[in-house]
Amino acid sequence: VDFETIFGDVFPSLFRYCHRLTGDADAAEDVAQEAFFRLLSHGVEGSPAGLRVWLFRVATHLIRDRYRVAQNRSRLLETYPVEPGGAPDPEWLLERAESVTAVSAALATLPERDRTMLLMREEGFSYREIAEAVDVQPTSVGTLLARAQQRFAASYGAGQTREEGIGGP
Amino acid sequence: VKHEDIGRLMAYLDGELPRGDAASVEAHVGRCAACADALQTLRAEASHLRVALATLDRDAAAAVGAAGERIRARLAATTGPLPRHQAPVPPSAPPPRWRLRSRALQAAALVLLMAGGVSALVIPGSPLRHWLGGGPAVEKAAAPTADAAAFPEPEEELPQVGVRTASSGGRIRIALELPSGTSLRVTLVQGETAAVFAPQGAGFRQADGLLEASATSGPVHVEVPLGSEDASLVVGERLYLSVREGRAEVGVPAESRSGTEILFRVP
Repeated sequence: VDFETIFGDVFPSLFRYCHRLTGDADAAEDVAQEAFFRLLSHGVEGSPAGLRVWLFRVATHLIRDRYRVAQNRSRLLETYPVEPGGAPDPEWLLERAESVTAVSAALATLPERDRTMLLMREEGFSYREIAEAVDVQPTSVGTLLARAQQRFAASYGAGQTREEGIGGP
Repeated sequence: VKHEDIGRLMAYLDGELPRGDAASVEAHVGRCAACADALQTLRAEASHLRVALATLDRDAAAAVGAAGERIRARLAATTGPLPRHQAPVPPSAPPPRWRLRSRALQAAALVLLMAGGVSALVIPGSPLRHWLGGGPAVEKAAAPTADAAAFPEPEEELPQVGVRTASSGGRIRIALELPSGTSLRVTLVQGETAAVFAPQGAGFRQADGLLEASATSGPVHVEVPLGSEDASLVVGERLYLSVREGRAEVGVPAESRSGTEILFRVP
């Protein structure tokens, strides 16, 4: 297996994962790039499946570190306003932005481990691989995932209810 | 009655239980209403999560191709040619393992790490990020045409044929047989009529409340009616989408979702 194969196989999934975690395409690109860069620079060895887990694990750590840095730089970040994407329909844009915000907010309420586990499962990782990435016993992954998706449902549902309540009777 | 553990139910849903254990869970759920309810709740929560996450993926789906190309170009520009194919591994050899063969490449990469600091790479506005982003010369120097093949362009639109079928008694089931890799676009439409469009050569079969199609290539476009009380879209054995009382639930990960359109890729 060569780098091109690993990159082609893993990048789309890794990018989506990072994007879901950060809610930001630029951040996802930065983190995915850094993960692949470390793969090259560290001369990491392993099976394709092992390298995939390794890349996701590195990306997860990078995003965690990034949030720590971001908290310290929040004042600076405020000076970089987000530009709209240029879609033609403002109402659609607003609706879309609201739903993206609601999902991101619900994800943000979860403990980091829950978030990582849910998103890794959605990328098709096995319980064994998820366990390896978050350092838990493989036998506890099912229970942890079940609780994590319960928490997400509760948080997202509460957010939706609050939104629906705005402007109501 | 000893109930099933929630972790085991979750593992059952995720296909993580050995066959014997899965059969045991199935048997128990068949005779225990409480566990059947718990399983249904877990399934609904998982589906809920997938639909929610799909809303985050619209931007990612639009950005992934260009982002991949940029990263390839930057890595190639900063570290030299990316490692290519190794010699074929004989069948008797251990499973193939990837590793970086070029020590010069490792050295170049490490120098870059030391020069810039890793954290700078992930900070917006970092000078290193800008440098890695490269001016026109860097982009130009690293635009290997062969690399573009890894991110396929949208599939060419072939002449399409299609069939429409109305719901029967408020129910419609759409069952598709599609090869792996087929792009499947689903549009949620008003009314009670389902439709499937596929490249010429596709086969269709209609019956009361049933629309079956078999295609050997994509893209395939399906219209799922929101007006049906009960509409389902199944590909192979897997439930991709269900509509109950005007609410759509996605059963498998989608590539992207935008308003009433959902894009899947058959695994």
